[in-house]
Amino acid sequence: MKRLILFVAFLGLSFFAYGAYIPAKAVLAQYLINDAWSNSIRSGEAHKPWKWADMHPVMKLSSNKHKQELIVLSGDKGNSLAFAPGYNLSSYMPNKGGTTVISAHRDTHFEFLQNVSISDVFELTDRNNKAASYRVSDIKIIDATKQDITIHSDQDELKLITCYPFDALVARGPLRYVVIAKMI
Amino acid sequence: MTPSKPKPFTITLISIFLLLATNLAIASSNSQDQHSNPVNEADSGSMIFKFDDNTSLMQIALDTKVQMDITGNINRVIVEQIFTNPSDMWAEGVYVFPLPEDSAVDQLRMYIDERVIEGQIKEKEEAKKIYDKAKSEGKSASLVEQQRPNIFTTKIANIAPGGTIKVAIEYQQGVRIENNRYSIRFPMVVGDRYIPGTPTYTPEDSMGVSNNTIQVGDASEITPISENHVRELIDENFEAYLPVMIDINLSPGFDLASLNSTYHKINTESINQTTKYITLAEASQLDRDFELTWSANMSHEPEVALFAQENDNSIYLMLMAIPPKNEVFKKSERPRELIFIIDSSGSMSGSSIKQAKDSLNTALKRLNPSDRFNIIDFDSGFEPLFESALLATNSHLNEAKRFIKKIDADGGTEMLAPIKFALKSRDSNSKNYLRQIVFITDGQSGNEGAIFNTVEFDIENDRFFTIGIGSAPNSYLLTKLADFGRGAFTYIGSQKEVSQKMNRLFEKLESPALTDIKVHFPPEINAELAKDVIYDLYAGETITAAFKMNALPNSLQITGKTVDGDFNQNITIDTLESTKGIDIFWARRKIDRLTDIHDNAYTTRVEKLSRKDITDLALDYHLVSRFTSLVAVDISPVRPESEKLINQAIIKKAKADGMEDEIRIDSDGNLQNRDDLLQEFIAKLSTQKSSAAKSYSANKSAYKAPLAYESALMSELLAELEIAEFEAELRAELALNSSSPVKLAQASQTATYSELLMYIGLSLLLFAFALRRRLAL
Repeated sequence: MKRLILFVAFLGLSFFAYGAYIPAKAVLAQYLINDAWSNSIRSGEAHKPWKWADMHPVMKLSSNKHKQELIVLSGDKGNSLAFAPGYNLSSYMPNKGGTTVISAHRDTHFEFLQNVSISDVFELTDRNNKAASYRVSDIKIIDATKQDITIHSDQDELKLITCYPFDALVARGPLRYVVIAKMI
Repeated sequence: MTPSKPKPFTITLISIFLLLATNLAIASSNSQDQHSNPVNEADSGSMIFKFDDNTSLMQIALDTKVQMDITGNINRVIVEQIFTNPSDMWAEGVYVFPLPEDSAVDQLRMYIDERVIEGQIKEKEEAKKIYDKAKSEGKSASLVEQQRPNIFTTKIANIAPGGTIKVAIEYQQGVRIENNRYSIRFPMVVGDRYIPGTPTYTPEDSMGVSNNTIQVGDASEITPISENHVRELIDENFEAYLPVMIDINLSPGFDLASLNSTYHKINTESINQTTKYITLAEASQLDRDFELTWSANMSHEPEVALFAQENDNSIYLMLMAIPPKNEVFKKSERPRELIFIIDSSGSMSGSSIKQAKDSLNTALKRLNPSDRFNIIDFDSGFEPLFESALLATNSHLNEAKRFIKKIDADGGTEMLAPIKFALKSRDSNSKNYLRQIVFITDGQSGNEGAIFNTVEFDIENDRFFTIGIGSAPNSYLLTKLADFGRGAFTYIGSQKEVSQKMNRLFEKLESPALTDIKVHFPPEINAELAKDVIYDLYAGETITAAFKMNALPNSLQITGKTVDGDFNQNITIDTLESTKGIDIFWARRKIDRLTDIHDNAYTTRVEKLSRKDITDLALDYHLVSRFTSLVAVDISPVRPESEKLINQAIIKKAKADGMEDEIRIDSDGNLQNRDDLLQEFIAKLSTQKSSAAKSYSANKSAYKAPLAYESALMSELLAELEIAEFEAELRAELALNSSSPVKLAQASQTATYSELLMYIGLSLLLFAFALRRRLAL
């Protein structure tokens, strides 16, 4: 019996630890990524945050109102999103005339999106240290199984995407929270 | 969301047509009200239109002579362009013309009064500066630039009033070979292009009919004015006169079974046993592409041919292998050992991994029972299905199916260890099999150097095929790996194509005609193999490989394996019958390879390095490339400083009816060039629409009775509406097919199980705590 208790306690602890590890690494990785980012700005070239990383920082997303300063990584698949918001590689870089799409987990980096309201201002800074400002014009909830994200080639805009609802316990739901901001 | 159309010609015409900058008024007024008056209409093709307000439009006469020497599978071409200035002013001629996309332009000569000025190869920017300087100093000068691999521009500065300047451009291209059909194509018209996007800054002296746009930054450089545009402007039946002559010496290197020209009538004479002399039978103009096709009497053995060239201290050698006739072609009996290495890192998640898994299952079904296989799944670590490859028996295949089902996309991308494992997991039996390793990934890797080393040293006789999925696979890495392993790199850009392209590759892997091709040189020859690797020869393909070495061997031996056993051919080289152009062929191939690397460069460092390599190579071999141009400048100025220089685009002919882009259908029956065809059609419709509008306004006065006038107006409007609707439909379809202006992306998975896991953990802990309490009680 004692063994069983020990086993259950161990199991509980490891579940808890693994669960806590996800947000923890999301926070910690930002420090390493920040370093790589400042290197990138200095040299204008891609720098990886750690040696075996299969992504690199591409821009910085910031908001004064929400006290956020997030380094965005290339690619919006699981490998990038575990550590930082990810830039959709088929969308456009800021100042290139098209839509920029950035995604992040709703329970880590993009938790603050639930507090974002219309006409909030975001700023994107690219590797050449060139900044662009965007004002939120619309907030939508879409069903990702039925709808894709539209990328325009002729509209300077920013789309921030995260999962919805924010407090759902189970991941991989179909709904997405989309914040649309136009360049100002 | 319709892309903004370049404004009808009035605005761009300011910069194109007006010889006198003072007369901007013509642009704002309607061009139809202008009365033009052709003053000089000779057979030479030159023509000047004087407008009422002293502006004029001029066509510089252009004569084109083409001389081709086809030897084996190299075609060496001299294109002479003779520019004649019909006006009484100094002129600059600008001619945008097409060349085959694999052409290597390496010579430019400018002929002025019996003198010849050789063109120098310079970096593109530098060449332009030299040309501009000469132009402003009043010297005769010419510049050849590459705009696209298949679109070039010749500029000739300071053609004297009434004077003529001849330039000769030389290029080389490979003969296209497909299933015993040999062909060369000489394109003559740059097709009308549909330019999408928002207009941006366009230089005032640009000569195109389109403005530059965000999507097409150099649109004004690749849209030369055509006779249709001029017709609209001058409201007269203008025809550009651009005569062309073609002479061809064809030495195919084998007995001809057939010889045809697709779009022109030709005369053919036999000069001697091996050479045919071909000319155009009728006077022709630059309004349709020229295509020559021929075929050989084929043998049943794969044929290998060698061509050599001595140049400076180096010998260049080209090897060409043609597969045997299709009927003779047998499915390979040699058992294969297929090893799949599949990337299941987080970035593969979703549709990519699903499709990769599906095609993996299809590939397994195609295996013979005598084949062996293995699967290695990797992300941060790796897991092989078997310790080494096993026979494709039912039980092994079932095991594989379960293994594939379990593959789940998460984790990082550590490529080195699984590749090492695949290369090392040979057993004593492996040498009896043709080992093919298929490496599937969508990822990047920083330790390219280590991976190259591993593959280069451990590859032995294995074949390495790479498949890159998604928008940013490391093509440089994957191309090089495939080179070391004599395989091929397959790029899959869209998720829709994953299963289709992978299945095609797996089919191809089943039927190698000649494998393990090796060229053995005598030991005393210090032969340096060019960057090119000799790929295996598969059904329906022809392979060529180029070498560069320090001395010419007396003989060499080519070995390989066919379905029927070993293939062995000794070739004695008695005298060096030099074939021209193999050095260029070699360099052009290398530039091609480097350009691939440059365009797919992941870091700016690789981009810079490959750009430098391309530039150096192009300068060494005197080749026009994306970064280099040819420029020729006369020594002394000819144009007095007081005289003005006008610049003038050569007006191209419209493509002859029925000579629009042909419909190309691939082996699966799919239309390949649908977008090109649609674009051409749209361009045609716009012309029709504007001429319909014009004919209406011209005939307005003809309708005397108001009623007749009204109904005529109605039918005109209806017709126009129909055309407009149809055009809108086509544009919408084009937008869907091409990348711009709107595309769709899938929203990614943006939540983790972190909270759920923490809650489960907490409740388990509580549960354990409660149990303990109960036990203690």
